[in-house]
Amino acid sequence: MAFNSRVLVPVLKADDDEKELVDPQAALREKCQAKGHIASLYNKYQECNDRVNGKSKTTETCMEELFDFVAELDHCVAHSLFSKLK
Amino acid sequence: MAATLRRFHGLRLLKSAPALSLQQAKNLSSAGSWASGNKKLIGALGAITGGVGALIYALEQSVQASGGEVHSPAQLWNHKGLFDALDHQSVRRGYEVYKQVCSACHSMQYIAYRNLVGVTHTEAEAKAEAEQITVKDGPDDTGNYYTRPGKLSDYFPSPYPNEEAARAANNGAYPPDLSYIVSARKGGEDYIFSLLTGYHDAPAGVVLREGQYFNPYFPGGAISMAQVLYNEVIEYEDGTPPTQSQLAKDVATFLKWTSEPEHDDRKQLLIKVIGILGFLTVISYYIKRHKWSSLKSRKIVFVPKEK
Repeated sequence: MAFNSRVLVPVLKADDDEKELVDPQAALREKCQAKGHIASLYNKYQECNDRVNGKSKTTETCMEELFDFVAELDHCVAHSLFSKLK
Repeated sequence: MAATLRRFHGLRLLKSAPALSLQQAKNLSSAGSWASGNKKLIGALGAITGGVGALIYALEQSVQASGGEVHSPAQLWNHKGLFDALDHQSVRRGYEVYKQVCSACHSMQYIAYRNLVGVTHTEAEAKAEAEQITVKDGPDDTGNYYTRPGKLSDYFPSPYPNEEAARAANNGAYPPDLSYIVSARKGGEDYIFSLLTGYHDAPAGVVLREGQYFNPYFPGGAISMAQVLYNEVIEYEDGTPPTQSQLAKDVATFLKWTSEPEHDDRKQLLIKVIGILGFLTVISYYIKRHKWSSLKSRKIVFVPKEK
């Protein structure tokens, strides 16, 4: 008679006390990027990326669009970031 | 007879009065023309000055506008106000970030361990920090060099013996000394903070050489320093959550202190100067009023000769 091959193995759940750290700057950037004018700047930047990557012989770069987007985004973040830091 | 003579004399007096008033009118008109000429001159000078000022401002703005990097936004630092001191807890945390992250590539040749005493560490703590390094010293009385543990008077160790070695190890780029970096960069600690947290994928059309990364806050965009600050790259002694922006803020505050160690003293001196000068101004105002009282309160009365 075969022994019962089913063996119950106890499962230990990992402790959840170490939670994921959230950077307030990253959170604020996501929140600010959802704003109207910053979202449109981001879309403009993405359009430029697609346009330039779609052509093989262009000398165009998307530096200006990125600069406009980053400047507006971080300016929005700067209003309240340091109040969330220690 | 006498009455008739008096009446005739009075008539002559009446005749002379218009002539006097006419002369006064002439004087007034010439004075008026002189004043109006002066007014025109002053107006022209004002207009020219305003125009030149506007031109200089426009040129300054156009120079900034043509830069090849993003301008760092102004952050709300603890030490930003006219009377606000540095946050010394932040400076101490920044020292931890520098020691465990930045010092792998960047030197700090003008800061000694004794400078930490009374600012971020007690004397015993600073000594313990100094003893963690090894210093080449000598020669001894037999002419030999030796190594010893560091002491308070020693400066922070440099990761490379010279600039050439630093460039060889960093693909030609030189990691600048961080002692006065905040004073050396336009935007100061705002620039440092934005640079450390501003890494981004390169936009289309931008080609980066090997060992380079893209950061829109760096002039030209291509920077040889990789992003080094992430969440939890180090653990703070005081238990602060080590998020990326917290690390960047603390190390920027620390570098502000290394660039301007006299920052707090200067702000304190401003408070003292305002108090003392205010008091002295009140005294000098009183003395001035006292000295000038006879002149300012005098009255001039014309007393004609008896005719």
